[in-house]
Amino acid sequence: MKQEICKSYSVELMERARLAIAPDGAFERHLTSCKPCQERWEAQTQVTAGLRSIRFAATDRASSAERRDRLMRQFDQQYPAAPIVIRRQPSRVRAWAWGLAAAAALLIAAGTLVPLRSHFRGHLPAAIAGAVSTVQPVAFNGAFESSDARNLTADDFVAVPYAPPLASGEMIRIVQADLDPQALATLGFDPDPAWTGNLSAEVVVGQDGYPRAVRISDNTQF
Amino acid sequence: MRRTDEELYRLMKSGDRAAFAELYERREPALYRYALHTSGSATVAEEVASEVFVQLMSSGSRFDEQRGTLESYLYGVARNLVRMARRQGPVEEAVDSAFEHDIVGDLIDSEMTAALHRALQTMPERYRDVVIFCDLEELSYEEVARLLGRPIGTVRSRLHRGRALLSGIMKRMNVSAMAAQG
Repeated sequence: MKQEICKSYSVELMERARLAIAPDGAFERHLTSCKPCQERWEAQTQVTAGLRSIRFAATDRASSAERRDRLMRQFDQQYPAAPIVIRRQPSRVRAWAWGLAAAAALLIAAGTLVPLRSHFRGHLPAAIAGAVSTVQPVAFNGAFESSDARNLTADDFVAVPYAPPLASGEMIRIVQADLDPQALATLGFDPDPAWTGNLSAEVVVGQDGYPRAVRISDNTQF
Repeated sequence: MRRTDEELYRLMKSGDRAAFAELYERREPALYRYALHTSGSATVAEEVASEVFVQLMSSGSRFDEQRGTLESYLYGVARNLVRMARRQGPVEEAVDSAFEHDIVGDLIDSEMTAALHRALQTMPERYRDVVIFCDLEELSYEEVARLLGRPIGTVRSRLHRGRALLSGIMKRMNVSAMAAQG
């Protein structure tokens, strides 16, 4: 009967002893009346005290920085750092700027090329072509050895700016045309604001149809 | 937010140095104490605590999250390393000298406590581990059960049995000490 009672207190005895909870109530009364349980209690509290001393002693340890550093070096060898790659997030501002620049470039190109093409494609600018009265193909002879149309100015021709150079032996035509001041301006003339109406002019046109030089043949307005 | 051991492990395996350092700082002290209590040698404990992490970072690390926690795995590696250390050297001598000179020095001046520590190393592993985790590391029954992969009831009964073994050893020592004095 007594053994049964002791057994019923065994778990409580152990738990109280390890958690250092003082006996009370029925358990305390049992301890005072049961010598074996009292001895077990004392032994267990002694174990608790001993383990506590060991715990305190073991935690009083300075971790080795040297050992840690060695491990970190080993880690660095095991996992060598990958080359640093700077990943740029796609920038909206950057994309927007590029888009704007591209659009501006397109507009500039269109603004420059389309008028030129409209002037020169079909061999003559519309303003000139509409006014052509005479077309006289003439061989580009030795008088213009240079392919530079500016050489034509010897005969009062004014070179058309940015026109492609004439090749030696290239067939040219001199086109008679009535040009308004605006068309003359596109061909490199600096029209006098006093000019009104169309002026008769001779336009040197290359084999490719592009005008190379212009000469005013109508002097009535000078 | 505190990252789990397993998250740190995954980061570490992808080469994250900081994750490895964090894992080391978090687990190394307890692993050292565990190795110290089981081997009785501070030198062995230092080596074991370090070697656990060397093995962890090696490509041959066999940790599998499906099979348990990283903490449990680390203690398992430490346990095996201590066993190997015991097999390699004269454990008894190492235990005595290490305990008295390397580990505690003046901190444990009680011969009885020193004897208790020695007793801890000689008791069966299944009891010793529970005593270390419950009474020296002060983990809860639930934590120890998870760590060892055992039911809580088993942990509790092993702890009681282990403590009974320790008290028996101490009782015998008391008798011996009294006999020596008499």
